[in-house]
Amino acid sequence: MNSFFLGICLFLCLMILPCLYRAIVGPTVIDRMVAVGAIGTKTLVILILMGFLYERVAMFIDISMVYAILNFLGTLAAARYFEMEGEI
Amino acid sequence: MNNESPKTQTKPFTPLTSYQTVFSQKRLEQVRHFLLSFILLFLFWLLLSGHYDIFHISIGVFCCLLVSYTSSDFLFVHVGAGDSHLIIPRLLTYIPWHLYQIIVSNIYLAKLVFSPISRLNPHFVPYKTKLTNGLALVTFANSITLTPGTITIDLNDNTFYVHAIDSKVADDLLTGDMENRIEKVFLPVAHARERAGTMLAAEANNLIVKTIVRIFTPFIQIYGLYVIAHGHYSPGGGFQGGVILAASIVLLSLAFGLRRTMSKVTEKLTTMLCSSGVFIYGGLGLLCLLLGGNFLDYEKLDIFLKVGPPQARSLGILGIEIGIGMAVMACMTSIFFDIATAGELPDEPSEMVIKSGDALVEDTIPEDTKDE
Repeated sequence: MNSFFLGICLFLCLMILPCLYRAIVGPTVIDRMVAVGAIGTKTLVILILMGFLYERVAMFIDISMVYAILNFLGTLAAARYFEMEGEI
Repeated sequence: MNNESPKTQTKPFTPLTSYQTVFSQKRLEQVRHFLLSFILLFLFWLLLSGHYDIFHISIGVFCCLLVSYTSSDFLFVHVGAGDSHLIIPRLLTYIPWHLYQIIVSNIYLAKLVFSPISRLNPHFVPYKTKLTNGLALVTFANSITLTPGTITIDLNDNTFYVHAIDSKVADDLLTGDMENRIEKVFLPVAHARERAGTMLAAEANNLIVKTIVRIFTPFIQIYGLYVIAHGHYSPGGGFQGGVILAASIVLLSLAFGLRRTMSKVTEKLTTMLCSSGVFIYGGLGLLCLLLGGNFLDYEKLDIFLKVGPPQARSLGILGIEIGIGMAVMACMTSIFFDIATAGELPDEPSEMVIKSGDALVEDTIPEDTKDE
């Protein structure tokens, strides 16, 4: 089972790379925001899978919840900022 | 609602009028909202906390009472507490159907993406809805976004603007099956109450964000208090919990505007919390010094607590964590307010200026994960 989780972890890490490309190169700021949001969601899943690997799920769920809150807050703040500024 | 009046009328010598004014309908509704949000938050606390002894449960009861006192009006705006027993079972029958829909359209979308000939046809679909209740609208918008292939872009005057990746996905939405099911879920509210119409006028801007933030905030606050209270078992503690509490206030001011938030969380309140947090920290430390130990030598507190040195150390750490949590929360909140207002509040409530929201988010990543 452990190697299964490890495999999913590695696969998700690889899947972060295209998002990272979009976050760095992305022509508009909106592209970057969406890419960062997607990376955040993937990181959350990886954290919980790491909890299974280290057999301390409760602790890692605590950490991933904070991550989820901050991801939501960051996206909302950026969206609000661009709504106010109008220009991107 | 009317349970109270027959009871009071059977007693002939009680002053009827005073009872009726105190337990008027609005007051009763408030009490009901308070109790129901307390129950929900306490269930969430029990789910988070793995410690089911009297000490931790009493901390939980205190925290849940605090949060449901400060934010009992957050959870039940579009749906009164009286209707929730009708809605929750209906919602539980809706969720499996929606999960099935997600799986079906996931498979369809995977086929679409991997097919050799590109059949993608992204376009916008305006969708006029017949739903009136705020929570029903938000549920519908989130259901559309959760289903792969369609994303809700905007909600304006009862019209959803939906981005669909393919014409088949858009046709599925336009059949109105999902909307009818959601209408059935919220049927008791739509017919029993007229509050939906008035509520929509006040909350027309950013209804989705406001509703979601309002539902999340009490749970985020409970989570922050849990992190503070369980700092000596799991990662976290005063600093991290305080930052999570401040994040909930930042979230509120992002959704509802700076002016409205600052009328509740005033500068007076943050200053008081900050200084009393530092006072608790320094006071406990100096108390240990006065009792003949070192600064923050918790074992000396055993003279008052009489529970044995290890337990006294644990309680002392908890006290310190509470002080630090209060101070950090107040500090972060006032830093956010100072930076966002740049010294003066904007005139219009909607004209909120956030100069550097991102700088604050960076600070909130937990740095040290203390593990004792």
